Amino acid sequence: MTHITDFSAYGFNRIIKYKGVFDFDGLYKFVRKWLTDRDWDFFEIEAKEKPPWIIYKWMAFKKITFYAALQIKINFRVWEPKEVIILKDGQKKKMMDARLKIDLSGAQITDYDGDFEKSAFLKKVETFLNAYVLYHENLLKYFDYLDYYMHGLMTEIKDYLGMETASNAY
Amino acid sequence: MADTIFPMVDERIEYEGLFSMKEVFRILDKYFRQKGYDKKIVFDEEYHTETGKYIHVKFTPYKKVDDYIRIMMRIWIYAHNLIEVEKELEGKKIKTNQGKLLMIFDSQMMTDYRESWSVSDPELGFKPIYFLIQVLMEKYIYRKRLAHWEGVIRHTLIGAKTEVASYLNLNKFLY
Repeated sequence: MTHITDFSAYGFNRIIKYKGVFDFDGLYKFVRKWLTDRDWDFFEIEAKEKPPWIIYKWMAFKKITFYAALQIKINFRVWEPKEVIILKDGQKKKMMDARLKIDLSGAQITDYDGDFEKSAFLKKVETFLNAYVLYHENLLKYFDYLDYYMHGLMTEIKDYLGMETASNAY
Repeated sequence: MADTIFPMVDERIEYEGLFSMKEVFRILDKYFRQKGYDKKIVFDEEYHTETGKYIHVKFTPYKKVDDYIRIMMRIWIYAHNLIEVEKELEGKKIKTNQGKLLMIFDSQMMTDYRESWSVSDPELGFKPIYFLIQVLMEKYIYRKRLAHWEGVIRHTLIGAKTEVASYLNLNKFLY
């Protein structure tokens, strides 16, 4: 049975809040490129410009095996954006002065094609696999992999914004 | 149901002066990586105000010791009025920060975090018996093991606090 384990339900989502001047267009392209360069399928679920908010909701999807896939959800929310022009490296550049909130959350999807839904016996086989055979694999191979991927993405976003806590020892 | 023990709470560092926020965060990150903790940043806020930057970070490194015990530290970092300054050190100009820093350290140990002893069947009502077995085991059989990990948590938390205090040069008036 297709099962989605949303790690944000266990408190494993990450929230970045920033207030200041930043290049929103550049950030948009940077995050998208970061995901596509690492072979994630990228989907823009929602793009809403409703003053004083700008809301973007993205989803990135990656198949790991025939049984498991990973999903990252990125929600951007910008409050009260104002366009400003600053001088950077001797050139005029358009930036945005606003409050930004980025919510990163991940999920693991098992049996995304519904192969184990064909009969009651296969469903029981799947339950046994997840509970006993693949228990540590689910934790170490999928959850850990996704968790540290998201740490990397979070650090790259903070580095792009020039935040002081853009550091990752992992 | 899991039991949560708090071996140490509300350990604080307060500092005002010159320091590098990047370096403070890097020290904590590296320390917990070396101790084998998994990283978890709950939220990270940075606001640019007229008087400087305001930073608020909640950092909760955790470690699953075995399938029964899980230990976690909680660190809140607040930085107020943080500005970038340039200072000369040994003839070289370095960029650093100046402002107020407050760090609060906390620790907790959770037993039965997988809730394998909390399985209950409403018809058969096994939960009270499982709870009794769990309490007796923790009190008499697992007591030394739990006390050992409490000691480890205290040692790790004091170590993290000492690392940051050493960087901020707060230990110079102890002796």
